[in-house]
Formats: sequence, C-alpha cells, structure tokens
Amino acid sequence: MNELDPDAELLPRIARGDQLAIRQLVARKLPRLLALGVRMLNDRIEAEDVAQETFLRVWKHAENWQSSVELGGTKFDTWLHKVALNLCYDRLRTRKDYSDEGMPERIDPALIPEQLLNKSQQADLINAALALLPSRQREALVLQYYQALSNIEAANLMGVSVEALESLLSRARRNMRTLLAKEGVNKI
Amino acid sequence: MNSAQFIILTEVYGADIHRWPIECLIPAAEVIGLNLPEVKYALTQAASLDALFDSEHVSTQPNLQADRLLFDRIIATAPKPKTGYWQAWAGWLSWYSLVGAGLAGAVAGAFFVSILTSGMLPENVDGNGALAGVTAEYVYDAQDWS
Repeated sequence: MNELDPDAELLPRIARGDQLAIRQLVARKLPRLLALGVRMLNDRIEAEDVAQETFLRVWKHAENWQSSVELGGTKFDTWLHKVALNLCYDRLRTRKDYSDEGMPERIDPALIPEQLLNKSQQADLINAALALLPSRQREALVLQYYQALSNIEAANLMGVSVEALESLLSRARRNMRTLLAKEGVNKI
Repeated sequence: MNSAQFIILTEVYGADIHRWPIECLIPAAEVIGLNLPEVKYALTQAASLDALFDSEHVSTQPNLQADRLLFDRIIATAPKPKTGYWQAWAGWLSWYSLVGAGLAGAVAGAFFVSILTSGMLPENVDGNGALAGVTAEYVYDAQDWS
C-alpha cells in the first residue's frame, strides 16, 4: 500500500471493475463527500447529486490515475475534494442569491426557534449561519474544520497561500460568532 | 510563540491545538502550560465556538436508508468487471460451440428422420401407378434395313 496516498492502490483495481475495490472506495469517501456537499450547499439532495457526479469522475479517471504525491503532487483525496468543490461551486453559481462578497446582517428569522434551542435546532441554526458566510470563508471553514484537512491541503485546494487561508478562517469564525450571537445562541 | 501569537491562532484554528499546524503543537502546549489568564480566556472563547460548530454534526448524521440507496446508486454507475483475452475467447468459443452443436443436431436429426421415413413411402409416390412393372425394352431393329 502507498502510505503517502492510501487510496491510490484502489484505482487500478477500480479501472478493472474490481467490485470490492469500488465498494471500499465509496464506503471510505462517501460520508465525507456528502458532509462537504451538505455544508457547502445547505441542501441534502444537491449534496447527494454532487457526490454521485464526483464518483462518475472517479470512474472516468481511475484508469489513468497516477499518484504523484511522492513528487509533491496531488493526493487522490485532495483531487477528490477539488472535484466535489468545483461541482458545489457550479451549483452555487446558478443560485439567484449567490454572492461571494459581503454578508447578510442576520439569519432568516424563520429559521430561529422561539423556544430554548435543543441540539437539533441549534444545528439548523449553525447550518443557516454557515450558509450565510461568503463562499470563500465557508469553504475555508468547511475544509479546515469539518473536513479536517491540514492548512496546507486546504490552501492548495483553494488555490491560496496559507496566510490567505488563515485570514479567511479568522474572518469566518468572527462572522459566525457575530451571526450566532445576534440570534441569542448561548455559550459564545 | 508568545501569548499574542497564541491568541491569534485560537481565532484562526479554534481551541483544539491538534487542529493547528503541526509545527505549532509543541510551542502552543508550552504557552498553555504558562497558565496566563488571557490565554485561558482566548481558549474558552474559541472552545465555545468549536462546541457550536461540533453540534452541527447532528444534521449530517448518516441517514442509513438514504445513504444505502445513494451507495447503491453510485455502485451501479461504477465500471463493470473486465474479462481477459482468454476469458473472452472462451466465452466466444462456448457460444459458437453451442450454436454449432445445435446445428449439427438439427442436421443429424433431419438425416435420421429421412432414413426412417423413406421405408414408409408408397411404392409409386409420383402418381404413375399405371406404368408399374413396365421396364425399358431395347429393340434392335437393324434387320429392318434390309
């Protein structure tokens, strides 16, 4: 097994139609891809479509995949995230309210429960706040915090320097804090 | 790393130093060990936001049935097993063998049926019963030339 890129050994087998390798890869990657899509798009159905399209790209490229991680190139997981993120952006751009700049003042009041927030309601509020972040800030937070990518991997994926990523992360956290505080979410 | 740098990093990466860049791990642990009030405050603030972020996991908990359907949909689009040269050749061979055997059987069957049924034919199957027993007769009539 390639320790630097543990997924790489599955790809030639996938290209040959090895069903076990296919199932292993899908089981390994689907939950993370789905979570990435849900957080980027705030829509489960669209996230499922993105996950499915992402795997179609995997099947297409499996035969010619050459891991170049030893040469400082791209790991399969990083490439997979890049494909999924591009597909998310394709969908975000078609939305009427898509904006890469600025931020609404408040979360949609319809999303705010009147009673004390239970855990599920709180999660909905976090999702709503996340969806309101400018897309680059959201992307930075999702990749670094939720997808647990290293700062270098996340910066590479976003095509920015580590310093720029850190700036986006800092602004994202500050904006999330402000948005949630406005809605009276405790403990911030 | 000093406390000001530490506080900036909590604002970027949160309270859990294991999420920080790996090279910051040891210096950050040293700063925490100093027990400075501003560092404690920054960590508490960042930890509360992290806790909220973590509560979002609730909404992305796997929905087993939906995930199973999605899993199956994705698997259905995956490449199908490729057969090797000899396997493909063997496949063709068995197909042609089957067809060949079928044809040979049909020909053999037809042949045997024709043999079996030939003995059951009426003697004059062509309907010229009136000529039965008539044979060709050679008439040498050279003598008539005299």
